[in-house]
This record gives sequence, C-alpha cells and structure tokens, in this order.
Amino acid sequence: MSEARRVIRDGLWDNNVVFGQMLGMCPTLATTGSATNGLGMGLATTVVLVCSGVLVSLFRNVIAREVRIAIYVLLMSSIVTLVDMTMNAWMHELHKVLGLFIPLIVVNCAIMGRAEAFASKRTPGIAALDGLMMGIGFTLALMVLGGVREAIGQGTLFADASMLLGERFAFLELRLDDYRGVLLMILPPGGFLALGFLVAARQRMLARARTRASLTNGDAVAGA
Amino acid sequence: MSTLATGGLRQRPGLLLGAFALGCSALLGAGDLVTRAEIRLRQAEDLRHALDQTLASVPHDNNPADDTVAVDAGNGKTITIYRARQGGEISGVAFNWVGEAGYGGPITLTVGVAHDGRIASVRVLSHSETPGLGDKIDVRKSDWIRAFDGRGLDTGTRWAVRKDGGDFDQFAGATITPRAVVGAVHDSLRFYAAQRERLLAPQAPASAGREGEPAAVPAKGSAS
Repeated sequence: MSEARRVIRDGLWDNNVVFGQMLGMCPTLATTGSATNGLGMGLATTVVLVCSGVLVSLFRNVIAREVRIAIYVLLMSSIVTLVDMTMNAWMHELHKVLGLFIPLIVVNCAIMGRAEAFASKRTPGIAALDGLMMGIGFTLALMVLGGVREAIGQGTLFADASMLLGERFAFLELRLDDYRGVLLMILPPGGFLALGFLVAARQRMLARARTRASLTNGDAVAGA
Repeated sequence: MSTLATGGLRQRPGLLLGAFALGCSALLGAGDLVTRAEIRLRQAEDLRHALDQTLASVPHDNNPADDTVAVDAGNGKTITIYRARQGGEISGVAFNWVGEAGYGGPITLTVGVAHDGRIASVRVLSHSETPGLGDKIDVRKSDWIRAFDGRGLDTGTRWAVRKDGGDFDQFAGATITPRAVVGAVHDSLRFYAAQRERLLAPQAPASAGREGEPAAVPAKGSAS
C-alpha cells in the first residue's frame, strides 16, 4: 500500500482521531449536541490540523528535542488565534456560528499528537495530507456522534445547518414530528453514552473482520 | 550561513524557543494589524443590526449607534445606552443587558425600550444554552422572544414564566432558560425606570458633537 493511501486509511478509519486514537475528547463530547455543531467543530479543527502539520514539518530539522513540545504549543496557539482573527474579519457570519468552537481547538490534543507522531518526521506534503485526512476523519466522527445524539435527543438531524453552511444547505435539515426526544442524549451524559456505544460497535466490526481474516488464512493453511 | 545559524540554535534550545516565541508574536501582531480595522467594521455592523432590530418600532431619524451615553449600573459596571431620536427628541433607547445565569451561563440581551417605558423589542445577543432546548430564545429559531414586545412595568404583566404563575411560556423540557430571560428583561426595565431621568436628559449627545444639527430633520424610514 502506498504511503498516501496508508495515510488516508489511517485518518478516516484505522487510526481515526476519535474512534481509533481516542484523542480530543473534550471538544468531541462538548460540541456534539447536534450534527451541525459537530460538522462546524470538525471543519475548524481540520484547518488547524493542516496548518500545524505543514509548519511543524517545515521546521522539523530546526526544532531541538528538548523544547519541541513548547514550540508546538506556541505554533498551534498562534495558528488558532490567526484563524480566529481571519474568520472574524472576512468570514464574519461563519465566525458568529463557529466562533464558540475555535478557542476550544487549542485543547485538542489530537493536533499535538499528529505533530509529535507524524509531522515532525515527514515532509510537508505528506504532513499536510495527514492533517487533512485526520481532520476529515475527526469531522466525520463528530458528525456521526452529533447525529446520533441529535436524532435520539430531539428527533432532528442537521437542524440549523443552513445557519452554518448557507441557505443552499437547508435541505439537510430533517425533523421527526411528534417525537418528544430523550433530553439525556443532548446533555453531557448522552455524549459519553453515544461515544461508548459507537466505539463498541466499531470494535465489534473490527473483531468480525479479524475472525474472517483468520478463518480464510486457516483455510489456506489447511488446503496447502 | 543558515545551516550555521540553525546548528547554533539547536545547541541552545532556550534561544531557539525564544526565537520561535518572537516569530509567533510577530505573526500575531501582523495578523492583528491586518484584521483589526475589518473586525471593528464587522462589529459595528453587528451593533447596527441589533439596534435596527430592537428599535424597529421606535420612530427615529438618527443613528443610535453614534448617539451614546454611559450610565453607571451600580455594581461597578457601566452600561452604554444607545439613544434613538426623532427630530432631536429622544424616542427610545437600547442597551445590552447581561442577565443572571441561564442553564449554560450568563445570557446577554439587547433591550430596546420606547419612550413610554415599554419594551420595543428584545433580542438575545449571546448565550450558551443547550442547543435544541434553551436556544429557542434566539429569534432565528423561535418567536418566543417577541412576547415581550409592548410590555412594561405598568402593563399589568406578571414577569415570570407560567410555571411560576407568570405570563410567559416556558419551553417543553426547559424552564431555567426562559425564567432567566424573563428575569433579565424585568431587571432591565427596572434599571430603565430608575435611570429614566438621566437617560432621557434632553441635552444633546456629548459623543457625536451634534449640537449644531437642525432640530427638525425629515424622518426617513421611521415608519417601519
């Protein structure tokens, strides 16, 4: 498997930030009351992941081991602040919706994790791809988690998506009439519950795939 | 030369860290310089929009955003009052009011009060209530906040939610948020009543130097 394909697979599924690495739990649990909020947080994080990946990779031969963590923190907080200011100035409507989430990105240790584990050892191109894929994987995970909580909690899906993405995306908004909802799922405990069940479901899928793989291997051995 | 410099810095992690801190600060400073004017413009637009909404039913021919007076709210905080004028006479005021905590923290309202002491309109400026439950106080999601229009301390209104024997609906599954908003609007009206003399003082605004302006300016768009 080529390196790029490996990186894409890792980010989206095998080593997914939320379901694989279990990183970035604070923003994950805090912002997934609805699928739209999860999408917003995911998009903002993706931008920061790509920027920090490229920067850390560019400076990988300059940064001394002893101070690397401090330098990563400096770089990331600067990127987050710059993204915040840029969005506030030129994407003001989006900033009003996402503004709440942007400072939260600083506490997402997935960004630190990718800088330390990947970007600091690779060239900028592949580091950017890794940041992008990790970001998309994170976004998808947050959308699924937010979608599950929102659907069970209040019987809607992508409510207010048009406020985040513009009126053209109003078709995304679904509503189940006459459904009273389970308030618990929107409140913080619901985040832990939904995350637990989703992680369990993924583990089950992985275990099944493993059993199937070992079975076919066993057949091959038996047949030989 | 550059390899020499970076090689030297690698030997001195303290210096390296200092260099990065300097670089990041420079970047942030530059970002601030570039975006500051634009952000200020956007914020002025936001303020104008909020004032347009809350003072829509108050006839005025000035720009309330430019006609301000700061009033001491008692607890060490000053509140900026935006004054709407019709032909030089104050026809209403609007101000931001930080209410007691809702479910997710303080709720900031923009309150428009007509000359007779009745609410012109109230809008929520910022809140962090539970999405899907408490956020129905936002006019983009529900018309609930319009229930305050036209009410005052002298209109026989019971300033509480129905559950507490008042005149305002609570939301299914959420009482704390509407209770906090009703309390905050009530408080803001009492603040207005206590400060009425000073707010409506006929002297021309000190901030905008409008003394020379003719008293009878033709009304434009004031019928809205």
